[in-house]
Amino acid sequence: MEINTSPFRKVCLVLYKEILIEYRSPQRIGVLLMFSLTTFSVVSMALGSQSLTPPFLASLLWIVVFFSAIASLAHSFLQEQQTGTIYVLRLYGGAQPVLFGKLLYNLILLTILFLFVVPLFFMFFTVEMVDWELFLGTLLLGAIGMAVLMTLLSAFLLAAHNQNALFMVISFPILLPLLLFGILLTTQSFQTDTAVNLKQLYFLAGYDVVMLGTSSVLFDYLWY
Amino acid sequence: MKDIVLFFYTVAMVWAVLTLIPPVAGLGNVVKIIFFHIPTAWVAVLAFLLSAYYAWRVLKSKQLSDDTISSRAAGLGLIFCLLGTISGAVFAKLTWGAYWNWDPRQITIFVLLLIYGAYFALRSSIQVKEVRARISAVYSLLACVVMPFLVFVIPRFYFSLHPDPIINRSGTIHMDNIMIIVLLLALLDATCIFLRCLYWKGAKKI
Repeated sequence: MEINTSPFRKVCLVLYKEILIEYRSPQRIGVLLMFSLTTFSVVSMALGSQSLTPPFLASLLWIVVFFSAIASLAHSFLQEQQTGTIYVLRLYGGAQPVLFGKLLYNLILLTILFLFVVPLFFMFFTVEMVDWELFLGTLLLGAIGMAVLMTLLSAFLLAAHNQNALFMVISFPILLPLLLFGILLTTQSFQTDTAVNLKQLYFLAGYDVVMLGTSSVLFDYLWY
Repeated sequence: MKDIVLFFYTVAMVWAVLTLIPPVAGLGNVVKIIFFHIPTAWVAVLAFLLSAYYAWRVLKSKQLSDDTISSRAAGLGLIFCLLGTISGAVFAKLTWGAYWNWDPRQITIFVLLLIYGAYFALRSSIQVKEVRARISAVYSLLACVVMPFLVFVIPRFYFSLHPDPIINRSGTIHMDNIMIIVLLLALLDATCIFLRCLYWKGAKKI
């Protein structure tokens, strides 16, 4: 990568590198999809064909998504460490292009996860969808927030040992507001009688924006 | 000398809470828990902010002494946070009938506990001192950004039984003069104990 390349092009190059690696050996996407499939089928087998209440359904969806994302996104930087490419990336990639390239790639991964999980969710459980727009909006904002925070947090693991367990511990408190509001809004999109509370959606969007800014500032201190 | 003064101050505060505070209609003597609960909760928040401030200094100056104080503040904050949580749960049991019901304030203090726990889990899994100082400082600052969302935003969306802070939105105070004086003195006492522990020269490095 040349020094004078524009920042946008640097981000694209990091993103391209990630996609290329995934294409050569699709590890992370495999973990992501198999993890969600396994958890969904376990719950579905255990419950049979009982009809579940909206809060229960919403919690189930978000818990499966959250833990699948943790299992896969923890490896954003660890993969580089295991293959030894992290040194090259530290030498040539600046902090911001690496952060945003990885972030975009994680966002793509999470979008694929949702495209896989949501049809599965409707197949396994009887869900009455009332408000599609709210549902999709919540998933999108939730995916952005998770991608931003998990990209930053997975860089913490580079210096640590017992990496997988630690990722769960450090990301839960930071992601909890996102998770709580995701569940709350998804519950509303399954219910007919409640008026949609747009303030909560704005909260989710605001959280994403603030966390994006914070990650961008703090990542410099992790990378150099 | 300072320690002796602080000790007698604390003894005097315990005496004041036990004897000077009159039982309140509807709550009785249970109200005395408040004089323990509010100071500990306040110190837990103060410790969190001080820890974040010293974390910021670590990132600016790269001094390991700042990291020591930052982690010590977090450790003391964890202890005070536990005391505040337990006293709050006992108060909830005696007045509302359940130790725990995921009231917004309980969510907030629970997440604060989780953050402290995660902070120490992160610290203990990094060996190199300089790297540990830098990375735990970044985590501390990140948690500091999350906190306002939990403290100010979540209580607006969930129903809460927790009374408003002493000075509530309308700016009025629902307490006798004697209670306010004792409460303010108790807050000062808890803050002094915290600061004395924080800047204690003989303390072992965490």
